[in-house]
This record gives sequence, C-alpha cells and structure tokens, in this order.
Amino acid sequence: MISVEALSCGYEETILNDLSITTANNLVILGANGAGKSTFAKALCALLPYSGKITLHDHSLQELSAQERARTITYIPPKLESYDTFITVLDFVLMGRHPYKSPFEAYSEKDETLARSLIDEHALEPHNKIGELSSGQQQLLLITQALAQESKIIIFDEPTANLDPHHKVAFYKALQSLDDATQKVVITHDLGLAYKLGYEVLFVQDGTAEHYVDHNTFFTKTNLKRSYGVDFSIEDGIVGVVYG
Amino acid sequence: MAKQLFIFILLALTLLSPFIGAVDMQWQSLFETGSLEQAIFFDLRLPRLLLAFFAGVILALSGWLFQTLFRNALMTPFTLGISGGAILGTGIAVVLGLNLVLFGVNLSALFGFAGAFGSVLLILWLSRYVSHRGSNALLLLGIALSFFFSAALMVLFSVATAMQSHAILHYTMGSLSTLGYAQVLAAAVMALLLLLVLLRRRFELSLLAVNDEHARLKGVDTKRVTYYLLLISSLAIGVLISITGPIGFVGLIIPHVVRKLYPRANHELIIPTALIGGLFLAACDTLSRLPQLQSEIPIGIVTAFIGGPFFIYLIIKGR
Repeated sequence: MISVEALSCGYEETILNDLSITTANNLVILGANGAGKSTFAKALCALLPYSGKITLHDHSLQELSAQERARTITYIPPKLESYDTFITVLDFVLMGRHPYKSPFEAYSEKDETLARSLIDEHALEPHNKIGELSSGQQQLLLITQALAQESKIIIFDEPTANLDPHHKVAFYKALQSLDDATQKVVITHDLGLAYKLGYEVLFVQDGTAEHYVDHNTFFTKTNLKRSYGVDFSIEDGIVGVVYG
Repeated sequence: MAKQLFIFILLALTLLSPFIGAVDMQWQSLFETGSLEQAIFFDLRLPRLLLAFFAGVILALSGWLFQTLFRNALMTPFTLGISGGAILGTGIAVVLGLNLVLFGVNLSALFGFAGAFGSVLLILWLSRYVSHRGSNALLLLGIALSFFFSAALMVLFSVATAMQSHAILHYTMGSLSTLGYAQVLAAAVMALLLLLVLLRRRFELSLLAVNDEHARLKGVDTKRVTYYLLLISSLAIGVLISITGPIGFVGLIIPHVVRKLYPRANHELIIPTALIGGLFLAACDTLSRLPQLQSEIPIGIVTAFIGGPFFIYLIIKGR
C-alpha cells in the first residue's frame, strides 16, 4: 500500500512537484529520461529529502525506523555498484536479512538456509565474488538479495536494461513467481515488458504524474503518441516503437 | 609463498626489535637484576616495541575505516588533513611556550590532540556540504586543509625561536621513543577500543562497503553509524598523534597490502589489518635503529622508504 500526497523533491532543483498517488496494486512507472521516475522511487525509500506526505502500509515514512523501513520497502538499482567487490554471493544475499536482526548479531542459520535456497533458485554460485559476475548475473543477484529481504514493497529500477533476452525472460519469470502479497513497482523504458506485466501505470511527466488504473487505457496508439511523441504499433499483445 | 615470507620477515624484525640499538644486548644479561642491559630492555626497548605495535594497529585500522566509510582507496585520517591539524596544534603550544606538564599530560601533546580532533570535526562539518558530490570532493577538501595547515605552520616558524623551530620540526617527523609505560597503556587502550568497536560494527560496515544507499536500504542509519565510527577513530588517532607525532603511510598502504594478501570481503580483514599494521610499524622501527646507522632514522621515513616500493610492486603485480 503506497499513498503519496503532494510530494515535492529533487536535488539542486525541484524534479517532482505536487505528485499524488494511492494504490495497493502492482505498478509500472513510465516516463521519459530524466522525468523523475528514479527520484520518485528514492523518495519512497527515504533516500532523498522531500516535502509532502508519504504513507506506506498505514505508517508515515518519517516515523519508521531505518530497520522498519527496510522491512516495508526496498529499491533495486539499475546496476550493482560496490566499493568492496570481494563479497561473496552468499554474504551479499544474507545482507538482505539485516533488517530482521540486531545490527551487532550474526545472521542466523534460518537466514542462511533462506539465502542459499534463493541463490540456488536463481542459478547463482554462493561462493563466487560479486565483482566476478557478469552484469546480467549482478542484476539477478540484486533481485535475489531483495527477495531475501522480504519487504512488503519492492521497487525495480530498469531491471531489464542490462539484460540479454535470455536473462530478460528469467527476470520476468522471477517477477511472476513473487508472491501476491508483495507489492511490485517496476520502473522501465521497456514498454513491451510494461504491457505484458499488465500492472497499473504511473506516467511521470513535467514533475507530476498521471495514474492509469487500467493499463489498457494507457496502451493505446493515440495515448502513447501523446505521451512519448513518437508512433507505436500494438499487435498481438506486443508494443513496439515505430522507427522513422 | 610470498605471503608467508612477508609475514615471517615482519615477525622476525619485530622480535628482533628489543635486541637492536645503540647498546649491544646479550640474552644472559637480561636476567641479571639491576644490570644496565635489563634496564634498557624493560624501560626503553620493550615499551618502545609495544608502542610501535599499538600505533601500527591504530593507524592501519583507521586507514581501513576511512577507506570503507568513504569508499575511496586514498582516504585516511592523514589525507583528510588531520595530521596537519595535529602538527599545527603542537606548533602553537611550542611557540606559546606551553611546555608544561599538567596531571602527567604534556600540554603540547594536548594541543596536538586538540588539533587532530578539531580538524576531524571541521572535516565532518564541511562534509555536510559536499557529501552529495562523492568522496573525491571530500578528499579535495582534505588536501586543501592540509595545505592551509602547513602554510599556517610556516607562519609559526617565522615567529618561533630557533629552539622552538627545532622542537616543532622534530615532532613533525614522528617518533616512537617513549618515556615509559603510561603512553604505551594509552595507545593500547585506544587500539583495543578501536578494534572492538569495528568488530562489533562489522555487519553495518560490510553493508556500507557496498555503498551508502545500499546500507540505508538494508536498515542502517548510515549517518549515525558513520559519525560514531569517525569520532571513535579520531579519538584514537588524536591520542596517538599526541604521543608519537604523525606517522604517515601506514594507514594508507596496510589495508591495501592486506587486501592483496587476503583477497576476501572487506569486513573479514579487520583483524589481519590490525595485526599486519602493528607488525609492520614494529618492523620498520627495528630497521630505523640498526646499529650500522650513525643516528636513528625518523620512523615516518622508514615506513615510506620500505612501504612505498613494496606497495608499487603490489599494484603492478595485481592479484
């Protein structure tokens, strides 16, 4: 459950201005480059200063402790950036369990069993070092860690941008296999994926956003043309850009 | 193999340390009560060895911590201008003629500590304005601060007497000579405090070693943890600098050397970094006092002279 009222935020200049949305359903966030999609996602995770009101599962974001926040919402960045590249896959996935223990305590055996089964499920090797993985595997690793975290809301920021078709399909399946209680938010430029997912649509533009509860009202040729300024074709459930 | 050899050399030089120096030391005379050798061994050389070891622990661990917290391979308390602040503080005390000892604490040492601690607070305050620009901006601030401190020191020199100038210069070179066990105890307490705090916080540090945003998304209050750890390490560094003066290079290179020797995750390297840092400084101290030398070489020069080429070798060789 995400509820946002009159959200304004940005870095040196304002990027989002007076944005509101309330939904308990899965969501795709669309919009041009620099429209403020990631800014919105980071505000939801309290990674940015903001004004306005953000409520997640009936709790004001500002009233949640750092650990409660991590149990409520998490964000998967477009790619893994780590200063320490020697961390093993197992240790990295285990970090997803940090919000569930005292900060000074070691990870429990239960945590390790969960992490190992998730690693196995996503065809990763627990003892590989994260710096040695391909970019596709690193993306999968970030998703695996977020699944271990079991937050009520998971935001995926351009999850397929670095993936080859094989890994894209793997990602799609991983997303589908997530249990329904988890609210999924997907930021993407991949309109084919967005259409196929069938989630509610939030289209971010000019600092604010339009919310389409039924994705079919967004994915029409005229609306896509109006939103992106280029022509699209929609055939057999596949959305594609018309070049030239 | 190279790893075992390196550690063997460090250990051998460390164990040799109390037997090396201007006075030849025989095993047997150690057990003659009241002998000169016994006094030199227990009152001069043993405390010196221990001070060198604990100083190495503090320097290496602080370097490791600063590199981890700022995720920058060049970050150490010294590159952030903290040693510059300590030297300036001591310089001011010397020029003001505050060569007093109050409650067993030398006032100029207290000024050195204040200088070190004050520059940490200054860096922390300044970092609030540049932290969003990444750690390189902070590094540049540290470099600017260092230049400012050394310019201020030059101004001090121009008003100092020849004797005062000599005293300041001597301090800037760093020294492990000690007058007894009180200072060793202070360094040991600080080294142990730093080690225990880092070990206790190793899970949060492992999350921070990925990046700040990552740690926050996993439920770490990164601002609070960062400030807390910087304050503890600055306390340790401030106390140390007030005892030994600034000793460069150990904090910068030891964490990297350890990472090359043991290619593991950062948070598993806390104890190896502490041990190798301590042994490295103790070994360098042995080399600075080889009997063939006409006079002792300042410790900071030995660390750079030995550590520099070895570090270059490690970088070129890669993993």
